[in-house]
Amino acid sequence: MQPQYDDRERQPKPYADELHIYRARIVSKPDPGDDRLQVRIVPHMADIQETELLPYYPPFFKGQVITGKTENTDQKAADYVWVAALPDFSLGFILGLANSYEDSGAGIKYSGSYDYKSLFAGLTKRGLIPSYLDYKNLYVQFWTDAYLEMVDYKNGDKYIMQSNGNMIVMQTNQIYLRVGSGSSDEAGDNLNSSAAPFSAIRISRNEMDLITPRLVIRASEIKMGDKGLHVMAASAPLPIFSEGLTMHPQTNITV
Amino acid sequence: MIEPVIGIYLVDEAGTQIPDNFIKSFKLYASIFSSFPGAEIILDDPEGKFLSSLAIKPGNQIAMIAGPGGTNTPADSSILYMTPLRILGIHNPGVHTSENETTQLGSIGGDYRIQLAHPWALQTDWTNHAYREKSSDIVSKVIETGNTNRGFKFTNVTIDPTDDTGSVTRYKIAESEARFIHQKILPYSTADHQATYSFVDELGAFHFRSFVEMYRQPPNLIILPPLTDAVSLGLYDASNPMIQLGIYDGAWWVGRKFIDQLSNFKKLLYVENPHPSVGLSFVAKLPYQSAIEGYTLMKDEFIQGITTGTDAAIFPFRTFDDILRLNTNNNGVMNEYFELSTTVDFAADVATVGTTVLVKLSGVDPTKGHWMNGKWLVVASEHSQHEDQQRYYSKYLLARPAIDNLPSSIDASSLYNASLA
Repeated sequence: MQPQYDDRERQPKPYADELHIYRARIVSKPDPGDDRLQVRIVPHMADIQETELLPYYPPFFKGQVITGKTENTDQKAADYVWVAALPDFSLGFILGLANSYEDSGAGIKYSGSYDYKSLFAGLTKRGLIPSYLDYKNLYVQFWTDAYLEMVDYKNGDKYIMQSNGNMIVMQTNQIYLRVGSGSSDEAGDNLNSSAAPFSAIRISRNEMDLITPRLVIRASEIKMGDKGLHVMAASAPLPIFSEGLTMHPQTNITV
Repeated sequence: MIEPVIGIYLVDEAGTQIPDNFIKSFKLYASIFSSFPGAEIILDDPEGKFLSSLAIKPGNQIAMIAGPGGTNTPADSSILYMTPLRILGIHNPGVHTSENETTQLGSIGGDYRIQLAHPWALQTDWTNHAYREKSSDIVSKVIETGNTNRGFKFTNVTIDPTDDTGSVTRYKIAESEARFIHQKILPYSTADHQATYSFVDELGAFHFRSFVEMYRQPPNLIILPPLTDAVSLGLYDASNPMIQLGIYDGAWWVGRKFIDQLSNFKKLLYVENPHPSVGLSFVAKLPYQSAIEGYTLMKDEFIQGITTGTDAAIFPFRTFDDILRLNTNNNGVMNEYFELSTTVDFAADVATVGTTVLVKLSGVDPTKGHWMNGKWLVVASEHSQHEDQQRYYSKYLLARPAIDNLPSSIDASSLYNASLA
């Protein structure tokens, strides 16, 4: 018999059950209780009209939930993810958010980089740049426009920052916690300052420095030092005269 | 068809007929295993006229029309329109002169060999789609959608309902309809728990069928020994209205596909369904589920002894549903355990791929008939005009998984009983 066209091999191709890497755009994130992402593999599914039939894949690793901007909410600004899937896309997993390729040239500025210069300036202003800090040692674990988390893998320093100025910094000689983004420490504790106030605690081996416009302590007992002495105090809205002394009320401390 | 006359026309050149005297030979072939039929026409072109004018070139649509011979104009109903074809390529593998050839070497004349295929080879619906339904419904949609997009329509479509639930989404992406059906639907589809086949027959009809459904069809053709023998042996029945044709040549195989089976036949399947509530592996039910009941000429103890082989396959990322159907399809080669090739007079009007024929041969004991007698499925065909002859023939490759008419010398209990139970 004549050899036939497209004579069929019933066995799938050897690679048909191996996972391959694809890029995909996030289409939607299902309701709570379903941690998968619906994705559009690109360019393969770029023009598939049956959006409801695009694949739903879970995160590759258990204990992880990946999300990002979606086609449903952000249209063309949707985030891309890496996907490990079978060639016919009947099964797949989400590996994580994907970078773009852009250009491979060393002299080309890569637009997918985090804003290290602003970060460095902000940390410098707070005295948070140790002498040993080196850009090349910073391993950024995750960053978005709103969040950055990185470690100095050589010295063990940890940085967690939000774009509004909040940060947790753990360095070899200090721990710094801050809420807010004041321009200077002087502005931090001044409610009347034209700059926005902030609160911060800097803990070093020899000192703990606390800055805040208002300190509220809720405690049934406060101990300051170990001398066993008691602080004398009076509840009085007006000055009190006693034995030639005038005691004025401290209006910034209330009970 | 009695003494047919077959004309070949260039459809897109105002229906120009290629003169018979230029046609050295032609061959139209199809099978239930391939997506669409193909053909080859050899024109006699000693002076290189066809070559220099290139009037017949790739892309041309060709029609083959068969009508009964005789002096009277045949009725429309008796005219057989073969599948439409398009030219894919033309060639002459060697131009040379000899004492018997009139070839003009300077014009590179000689044979003008034309390779053709059903238009589906060139015209297809490339649009991407996602489908989530039963395989048979997906195929229906693909064919129906393509009818408006590909430039021609399938007017005769037969689709058997498949067993699957349609729980797996299939993506047709940057691939032809035929390739999508062949590679992404067919391997994971069964009908009546039997292997499925997708093909276009010699008349241009589309089929998505199971072996058992095709085999259930009544035959329209009886194949006999050469007619003089058939008459003397009493096998020819003049009162039978069915077409009865004698064979010109034949060949047969028992267990040919079993060789393929050794590499494709999966006795043991390792399937890991990623869902945590599903077990890790599954052992396939084998050797296989026969499409028809009867005996396979293998020792039963051999089949029953296949407990750990002949081969194993590992599918780490497929659902049970898909793998079970894939395995059924892999083992579908056993549907062709018995094969018989026969050449008869042109009979495309009564037997095409996917139909059945009745074979009546004489055995050693004329009163009992031959064990190969009975109904067979046409799995491949070749309709041809032999070189420089004005006669037309049909060659059929017939297949069946089992027989029910054993020679008296064989003890049935020793054979593998291919029952459906």
